[in-house]
Amino acid sequence: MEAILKAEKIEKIFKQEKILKGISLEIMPNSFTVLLGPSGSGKTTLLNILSGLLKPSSGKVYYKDKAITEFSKNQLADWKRKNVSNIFQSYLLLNNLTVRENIEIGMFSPDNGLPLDELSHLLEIHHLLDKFPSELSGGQQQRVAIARAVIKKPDILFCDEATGALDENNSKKVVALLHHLKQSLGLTVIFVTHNLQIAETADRVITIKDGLIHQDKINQNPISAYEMIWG
Amino acid sequence: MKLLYKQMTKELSKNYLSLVLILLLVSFTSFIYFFVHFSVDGNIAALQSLPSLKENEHLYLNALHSNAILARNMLTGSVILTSFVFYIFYHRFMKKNYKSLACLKALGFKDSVISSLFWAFTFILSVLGGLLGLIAGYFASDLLLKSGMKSYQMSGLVKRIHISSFFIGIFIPAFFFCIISYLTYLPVATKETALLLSSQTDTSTNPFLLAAANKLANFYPGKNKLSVRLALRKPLALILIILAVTAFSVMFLLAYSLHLSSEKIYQSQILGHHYLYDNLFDKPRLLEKPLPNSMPYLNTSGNIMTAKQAIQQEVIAFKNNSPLFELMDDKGNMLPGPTSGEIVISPALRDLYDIKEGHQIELYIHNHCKTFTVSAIAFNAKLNSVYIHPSDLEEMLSLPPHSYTGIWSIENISDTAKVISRYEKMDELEKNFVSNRISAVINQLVGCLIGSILLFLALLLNFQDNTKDILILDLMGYQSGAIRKMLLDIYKPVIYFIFSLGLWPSMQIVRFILKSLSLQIGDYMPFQSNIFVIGGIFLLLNFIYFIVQWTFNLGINKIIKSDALYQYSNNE
Repeated sequence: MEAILKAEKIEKIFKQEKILKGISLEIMPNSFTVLLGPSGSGKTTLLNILSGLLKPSSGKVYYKDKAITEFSKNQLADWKRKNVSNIFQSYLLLNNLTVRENIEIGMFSPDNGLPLDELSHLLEIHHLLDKFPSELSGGQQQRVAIARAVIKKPDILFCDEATGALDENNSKKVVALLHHLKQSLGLTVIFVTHNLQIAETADRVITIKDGLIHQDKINQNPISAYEMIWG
Repeated sequence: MKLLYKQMTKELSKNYLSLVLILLLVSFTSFIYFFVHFSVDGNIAALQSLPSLKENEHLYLNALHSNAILARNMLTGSVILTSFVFYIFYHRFMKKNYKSLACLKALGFKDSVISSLFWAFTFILSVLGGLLGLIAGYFASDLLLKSGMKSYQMSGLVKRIHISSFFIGIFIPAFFFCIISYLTYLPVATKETALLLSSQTDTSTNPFLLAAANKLANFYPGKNKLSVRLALRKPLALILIILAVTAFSVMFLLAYSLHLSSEKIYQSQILGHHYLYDNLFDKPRLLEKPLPNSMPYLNTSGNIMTAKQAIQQEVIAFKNNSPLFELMDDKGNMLPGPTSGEIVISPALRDLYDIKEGHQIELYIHNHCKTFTVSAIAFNAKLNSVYIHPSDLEEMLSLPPHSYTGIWSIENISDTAKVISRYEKMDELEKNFVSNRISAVINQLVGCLIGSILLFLALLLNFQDNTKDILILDLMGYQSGAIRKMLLDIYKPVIYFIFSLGLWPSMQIVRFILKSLSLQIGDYMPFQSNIFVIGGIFLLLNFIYFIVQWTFNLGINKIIKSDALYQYSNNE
């Protein structure tokens, strides 16, 4: 099977400090990969580069066989619109749009997306569709953010500390949902976290330390999200 | 795309007070222009289509042209000021919404699509404001038309606007404002999405400026260093305050000067001019014996040569001051008449061409040139006139001694002369000034309003920048009075400081504007100011400050009372 995403010798320098020091990796389709590491290790920087939100100082990122690091700004925007999605720790919902509109804005074409009603039922937000983000709890907001990210059936879902602001129950629910969506929609999920328990649920765990891959491990026996023990 | 527009339009609309003020600024900007052009365009076209013009028509045409120049200058100034306000508004908006904008970029929206929203919004706001100004200008132009009819005995004046004026008044400002909105989006377009996501969403400035602000604050005596430091940390907002206070002072001084300039000129033509009739002869005559209750003079047309140009003046020569006419300085003291080789000039020559006492100037009369020394500046000199000794003028005109071409008198003494009575002279002066004065005063009143709005906006934006700090201090248990003292009251001394520091430059700017206007229009408009005007500006600044503070306090109390700190901080 061919990798859906490939990074070659990625380096990133911020203010003369080398954050990433030449990372190469391949991500297989329909996998759940966790990028694990302590604060300041460079994992979020790597995720941002893989998702096209940041340009590397050197090195290349390939989506299938296309180098996205060579894309023009408009090509990159098209790629983001059609092929990938992001979920952020702080949800980043658009506060002036209702939940329904927040989800719809994630669709790049009305004909190509998942049915909104089905998706909202799956994420248990169907009763919130006419509410505004400010009226929702953190867990509900993150599920809306997930709905917005997956409604277009992206190939890759990039999650940056997606459970970082949630309590145990909501975190488990979100992780379970992401696994379910991976299975049902055939998504590839790349999840940045420093939470070892979330890493236990993944197919593969890449540990980043000091801007380098410290460990790259295939998880033979991933646990389910509800088996996670919250410390 | 619809949802993107909905999100950002709603976000922009949250700044409704700023937007209303900007709309007013744009409206006043176009009002200044249309108010004049509705009374100018149709009538210029009508007068220019006539094969020949009567004297009053010719004067009216000149007044229309001068009004058009004034309107163009005011439009240019207002567009520059409003562009800066647009810049500040969008700059703050972008900074506060970096994360939302980054989210939209992460969703795959192109920069061209997102930025189109801002210039489309700006375009609609500008055109709407422009149309409001157009409607107001249409009705206000009646004032100018009526004054034109009265002052110049014109009839059949039309209220019409040329299509090019319509485009200039509506679309040129809108074009510039759209460019500004696009430029303010450039930092978002050029910054990488991930960096936008991790950006500070407040309007704080860069570390270098912060350090500079801290150092400057250390020079401030007393215990309010923190307040000074906080105020100095927002250089852009500080620039807006400087601009607003200066613009306000300039507009106010300009309005005052323009309002009183015609009166001053009028006064200058009465002071020392005690004769009731001016008798003008076609050819020079020879005075054989002294005439009772009269004062003969010799006059002709000449040119004063400066390094840049020739200034046409009426050259007048008379023997001595007399009870009928005496040259005076601006304090009302009598000036000695010029001796041979000396010339007395008007304040207009001093102010517009920088000719001062003691300067040597060349006077050309009928190809004869002679150098004169400026001996005095006569406040009551006849408009566009200079005075020399009769022997000098007689020599330059090759005339015998005791020649004269006119007589100032108490009675109408000659039936062979063209006679201008004092009443006719004053009436003529009024005609020349009324139209310009009305348009100038209305324009400058609007200018004052623009200055007030600018100042209101500057303070409001500064206060808004402090909203989060105020809420945090409230959470920490500070009394609202203490918070106000710490964060808001600092702007009062800042305004006083800027006002006192900017007063002299403002006066120089007004002098410069008046000089340029006088040269363009051809009517001398002297600078006027006194302690009451300066006091008035100061009081008005305080009043505006009070209004902004009151408005802002209402808003802050509403946020504190609604217990919306958490939501507010999150949205920030």
